[in-house]
Amino acid sequence: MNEKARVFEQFLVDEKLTCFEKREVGDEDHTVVFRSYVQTELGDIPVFLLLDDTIYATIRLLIGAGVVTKENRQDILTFINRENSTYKSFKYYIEEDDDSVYLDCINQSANSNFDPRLLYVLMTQIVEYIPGKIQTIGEVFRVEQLPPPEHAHE
Amino acid sequence: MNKKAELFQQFIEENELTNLFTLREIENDPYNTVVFDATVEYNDIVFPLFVVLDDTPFGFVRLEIAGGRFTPEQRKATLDVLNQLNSEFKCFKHYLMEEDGYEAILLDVSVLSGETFDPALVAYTIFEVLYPHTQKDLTRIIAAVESVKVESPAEDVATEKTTEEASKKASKPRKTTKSKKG
Repeated sequence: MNEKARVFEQFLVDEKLTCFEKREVGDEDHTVVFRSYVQTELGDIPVFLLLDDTIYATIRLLIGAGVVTKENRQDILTFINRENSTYKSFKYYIEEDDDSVYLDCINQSANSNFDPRLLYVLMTQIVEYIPGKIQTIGEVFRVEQLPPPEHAHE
Repeated sequence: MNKKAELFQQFIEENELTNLFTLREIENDPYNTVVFDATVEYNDIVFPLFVVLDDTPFGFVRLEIAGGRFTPEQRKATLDVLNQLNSEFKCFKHYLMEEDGYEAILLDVSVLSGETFDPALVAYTIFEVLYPHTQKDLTRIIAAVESVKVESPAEDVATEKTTEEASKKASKPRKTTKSKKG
């Protein structure tokens, strides 16, 4: 396991936080994924925290798996640009490979300065932001329910 | 001055980088915001760059890529290419900001920090991550705007300005890494 993941896992133990499942990817960067969910009116949204040997820590939400179509694409781009220009710490984007909408928050730090509490605070802020946007997200995606996240991957 | 700005100022002094940045304190700001102004050049075009640090954990480096008024077609093409770049380059956020009828294409890199702030990481972000991006990938934005045929006479002026800047960028490749004094 990488150093940041080890520190984050210890933080979860110390704070008695049990809402994450851990998975070691087994790649050359020793990536570890901590997975959880945000519950919303339109269904659960998967949250991934990706930690590896690089300086980057990624909080990633799969906002809409496979929701992008020719019909809603422009509305989605307009929505995500508006949100990207408003909120400082994260960004939305459409991933063309799977027609999905993601939200990423990237934090850079050396292992020696890695701060698990900061990551948890950032995750909490995003989790608190989502419910206030979910109705708009449903309208922009033109869906009444988000696709089930069971098989979602990071 | 806020603590992070002090540390960054100290870092650039120790590393003889002060000629690249101009420190600006925002007066009467509740978060003691400090901006370090700098510039990045590509093909004789100067992009303003700002390092913004305050009392909150949310610092950022911002680059102003282009500005003006876009036609709806140009805006559509721009949003498309900005999304491609956001998908491809995980630590950069490119977006179109509208204010008072003026639009700017901006690029932000978050510099988040909790109890520990690492000024060397901010410098690394600027010189090793952001700077190469300005020299290789930002032309895709210009190409996207240029690729749109403009048919609305009412918006020709703004478009011509954008296109002129774009042509200038595309026609004079330069490999130097000079940054302008603040």
